[in-house]
Amino acid sequence: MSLLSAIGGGRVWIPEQGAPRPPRRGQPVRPLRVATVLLAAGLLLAAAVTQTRRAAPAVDRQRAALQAQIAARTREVDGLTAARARLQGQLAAAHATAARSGSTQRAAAATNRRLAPITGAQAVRGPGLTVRLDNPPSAKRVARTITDSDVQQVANQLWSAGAEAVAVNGVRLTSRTAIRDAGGALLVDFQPQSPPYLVAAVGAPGRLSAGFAASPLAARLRSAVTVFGIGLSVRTADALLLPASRSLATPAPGSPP
Amino acid sequence: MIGAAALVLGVVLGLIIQPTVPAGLEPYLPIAVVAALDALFGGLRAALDRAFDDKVFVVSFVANVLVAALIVFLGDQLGVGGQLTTAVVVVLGIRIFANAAAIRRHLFGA
Repeated sequence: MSLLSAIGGGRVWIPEQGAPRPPRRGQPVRPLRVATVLLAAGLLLAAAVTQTRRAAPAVDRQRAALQAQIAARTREVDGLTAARARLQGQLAAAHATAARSGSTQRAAAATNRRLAPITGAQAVRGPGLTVRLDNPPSAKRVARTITDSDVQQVANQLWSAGAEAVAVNGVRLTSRTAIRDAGGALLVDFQPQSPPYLVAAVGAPGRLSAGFAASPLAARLRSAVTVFGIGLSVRTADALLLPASRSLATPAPGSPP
Repeated sequence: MIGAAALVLGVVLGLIIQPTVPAGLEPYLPIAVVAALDALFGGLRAALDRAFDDKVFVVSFVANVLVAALIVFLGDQLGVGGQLTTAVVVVLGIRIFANAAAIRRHLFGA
């Protein structure tokens, strides 16, 4: 209460604090003066209200403009992606034509056909293993989330267990792909991903799952499941389809699209 | 009575003309309004205390509005505008509540 009276400068009577000061005889009230001030007060009030009302749609407009911009840019990206796929098709056809023209070209094309699935330039289909990582349910107090290094380590473990091709959330990993954290978002090959993260590897399922299960990484992740409640599920799959990398900018000569 | 009518007239006029506040003064408007409310409640309480003085009322109204805006302006220049706005709103809010409590005592005797 002393803070309140201090704030009031001692002038404000706080009713719970005893009697009011004895009334002070004022001069006769001149109503015109008072009315003028009250009129001004009313104007001020109305102005503030209308101003606030006017500002709100502006905020809405800004948000709508941003949303429209996001949609437009997304459409643009989709259009460019489609154009690129078309051009890659043309390029592959040109390469195929070129490959028929001589023995050197034929040998190069054969090498490329062998290398394309390994480098990530070509989509790969086959049996394999998937590792699904997820953050703890948000209801719990979250002490640990899935980080870029978790996903990196899982991918590396799968490579070392004999994977022929690996993709994270459908983004193919190549020798030039980075998995990294950017301000709380996980970027795989510069494409933002959100949990759950599905690391899919094509290879011999038995070898992959044995190699992954026996690794120290798997043990660490399993203990994180019990301690922190992160999501981890490892499954073998009969047919996985890993797309070609989107960022290998120039497909090698002779490579199929 | 005249006062209440003037207040209502002011609000109605403001809603009809929709005055445009210059962009530079916009941050100070809400604070000015809170200061004006403080002066209004103070005046009403004084009237109920039979201690109403129109000179004090007019001067306190104008001074409250100007000082509140000035404090926030100074805060903006020093980079603590938001915090000072909060401070002014808290202080004036406490005063308004205290005055409202006094008015309540007068009107309801409780």
